[in-house]
Amino acid sequence: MTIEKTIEKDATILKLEGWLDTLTSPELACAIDALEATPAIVLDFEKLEYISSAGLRQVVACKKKADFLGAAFSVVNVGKEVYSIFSLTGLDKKIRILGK
Amino acid sequence: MKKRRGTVAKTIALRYAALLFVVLTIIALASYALVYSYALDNARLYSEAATDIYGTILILKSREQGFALTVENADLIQESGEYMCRTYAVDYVYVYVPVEDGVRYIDLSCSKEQESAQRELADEFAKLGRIEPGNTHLHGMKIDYEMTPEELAMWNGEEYYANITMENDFGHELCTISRVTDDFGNAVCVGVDISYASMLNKVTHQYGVLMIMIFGVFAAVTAGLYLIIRKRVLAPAEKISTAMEDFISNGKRSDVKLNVATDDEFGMIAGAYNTMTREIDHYVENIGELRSMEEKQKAEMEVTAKIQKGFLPDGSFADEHYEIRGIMTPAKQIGGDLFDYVRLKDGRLFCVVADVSGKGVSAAMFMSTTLTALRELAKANVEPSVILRETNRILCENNAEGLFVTAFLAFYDPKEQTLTYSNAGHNLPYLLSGKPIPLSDAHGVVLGLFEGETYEQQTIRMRPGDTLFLYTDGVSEAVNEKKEFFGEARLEACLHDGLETDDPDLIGRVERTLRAFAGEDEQSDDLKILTLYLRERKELLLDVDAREFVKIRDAILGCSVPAPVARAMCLSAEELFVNVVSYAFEGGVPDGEKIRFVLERSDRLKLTLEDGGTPYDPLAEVVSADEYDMDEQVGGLGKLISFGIADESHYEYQNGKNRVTILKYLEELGHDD
Repeated sequence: MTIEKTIEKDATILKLEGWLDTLTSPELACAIDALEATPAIVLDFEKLEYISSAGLRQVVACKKKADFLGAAFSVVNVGKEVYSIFSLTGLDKKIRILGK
Repeated sequence: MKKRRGTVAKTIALRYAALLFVVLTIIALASYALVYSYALDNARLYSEAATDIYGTILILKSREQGFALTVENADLIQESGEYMCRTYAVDYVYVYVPVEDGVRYIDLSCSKEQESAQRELADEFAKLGRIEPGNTHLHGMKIDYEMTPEELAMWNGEEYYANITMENDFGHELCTISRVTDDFGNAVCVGVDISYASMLNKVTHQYGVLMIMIFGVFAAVTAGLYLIIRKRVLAPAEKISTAMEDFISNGKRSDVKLNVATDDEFGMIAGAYNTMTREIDHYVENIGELRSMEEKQKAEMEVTAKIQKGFLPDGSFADEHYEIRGIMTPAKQIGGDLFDYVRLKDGRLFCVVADVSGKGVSAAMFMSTTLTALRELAKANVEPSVILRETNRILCENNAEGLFVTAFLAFYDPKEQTLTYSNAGHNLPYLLSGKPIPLSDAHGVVLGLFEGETYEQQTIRMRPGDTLFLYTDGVSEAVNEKKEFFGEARLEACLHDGLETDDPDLIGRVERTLRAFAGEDEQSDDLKILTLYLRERKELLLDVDAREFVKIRDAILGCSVPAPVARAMCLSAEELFVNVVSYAFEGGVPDGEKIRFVLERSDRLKLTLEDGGTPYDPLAEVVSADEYDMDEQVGGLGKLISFGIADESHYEYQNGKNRVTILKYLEELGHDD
């Protein structure tokens, strides 16, 4: 998995590519730790093929970090498969998902 | 056995002798009784006759010489008495007259044998003063004596004789007394004593001699009979039985002739025995020859069968793409039906079932030619129709016996998941895909008879989960006791049932059904069935370490299923695996502990995870999405995902292992990738 971090004026964007699973989620955890104050935090899942519960937990952690930083949080460009995992776990109701 | 030999003869002889002895003894005793009574009668007659003669002599003498029969003429009377005793076998003769209170002897004469006894008696009387010494003939001596009733009857004229048996000093005597009267009117008693002993001894002596002679003759006859029997019956019987025993125990046979040179039954038996031993020897020799020939043939057959078996593949094979199972029941004869499969270098599988007409070595050799041709052509990467065409050509070139082969052959390509097949007159196989489907017909003529034949071929889709069922006519043409064929309908029904019940042992099911149908019929031994079951199977043994998930992921992604399905399965697997790694071994992981992961793909994808950790049923506490609180719960999410995307989930705890099974159906996905 690769994480491409883009810091813009009004948002910090983390672009994930590949598999977010047990083995790769610690990378996301590091990236989340490294987040600094910003108006919005966006996770771009356009190229994310796979997410497991370990990944979901990091998404939740990211949201909590955003809340802590007072930033808006959203997940964007979620593919069909990955979205189905969000809906399966009910996280789609708790996390703002844009551009399915 | 030997000790008892001949006891029959002895027993017969002894019993015969004993019986004879008893019978003879009875006859002897009976006849002795008869002779004895006759002798008694005779003695009485003799005694009476002697009395008459004595009386007559006295009367005639007294008349001639003119003397009266009185005591005064005792000397004259004595002469007659002595004459009687000399001439006749009598002991005593006497003359007396009854007087008051007794009798008075006129004379008593005796035989020479009795003289001393008489003298002693006379001496006794003389001592007593009853007579003068020297008067041995007791002339004129009166004795006190009461006459017996017989004597009185005789004296009174009522009886002519008085017969009295006496047992006294004179011995066992018969006394016969008669009354005579002389010319002077003097009546006297004349008596004669004869000895029973002397009368009877004579008879019994003669009789005894006779009896001994008879007994002797009988004994001699018996002994003779025994000897004859022994010579003519027992000896030959013993000879025959000895010969028979030798025949059995020593293996001596017709070279030892039985010599009983007589015309009787034993001669006949001996002759028959000699003929029989000769015949048996002859027969045994023949049997030996036949047996050695048969054994040779059998050994040759066995070698042929072994060679043939060596050609052919094992009954089962499995790799990650397919599983092959076959039964080739050991037929009693070598023959020409078989199956074969070869894995080609390019990953394809070549399989064939074939059936050569006929049985025996020629069929087996024909088959090996066929098999070699088929294999070589298959390895040369030739199309099925071409393989059949070329094999037909090769077989036609060398087929003096006019044998032929039916064959069905097919290539399975796991990459393309296609089956390309061609048929030369063989039974149509079944494709088992949910139900038994006979493969559509593309058959040509049998191989080996017609030169230049061409064959069609067909390609069908064969998916994991499908089974190809190949068989020889030993299956469809198995016959039951009523001479009915097993037939395709029964086979199809059996396969159908097997699929319905998801029977993992389809071949075993068909075989059992067939045996139950055919009973003890021999044809049921001649089965050849081959099944090709398509599936993918991967098995991993993983350390208790989350990093091992990479291997699971690679295994699932390497599976020929659509990527979304693979990813979904990965997700299920990851959640379960991580769960086990995190929680199953909280007390510490034992050395060498492994988690077993099995992935199987047929018409569905099946994942099995097995661990030896704390018994735990992950299915028991799956929270629903609505209940999930992302601020509170951590662990529940994985199970929620894992079981949420599965079509079926199972858990069992067995032999100290947790086993979770996840199924993902593939049907609805089709083959549109």
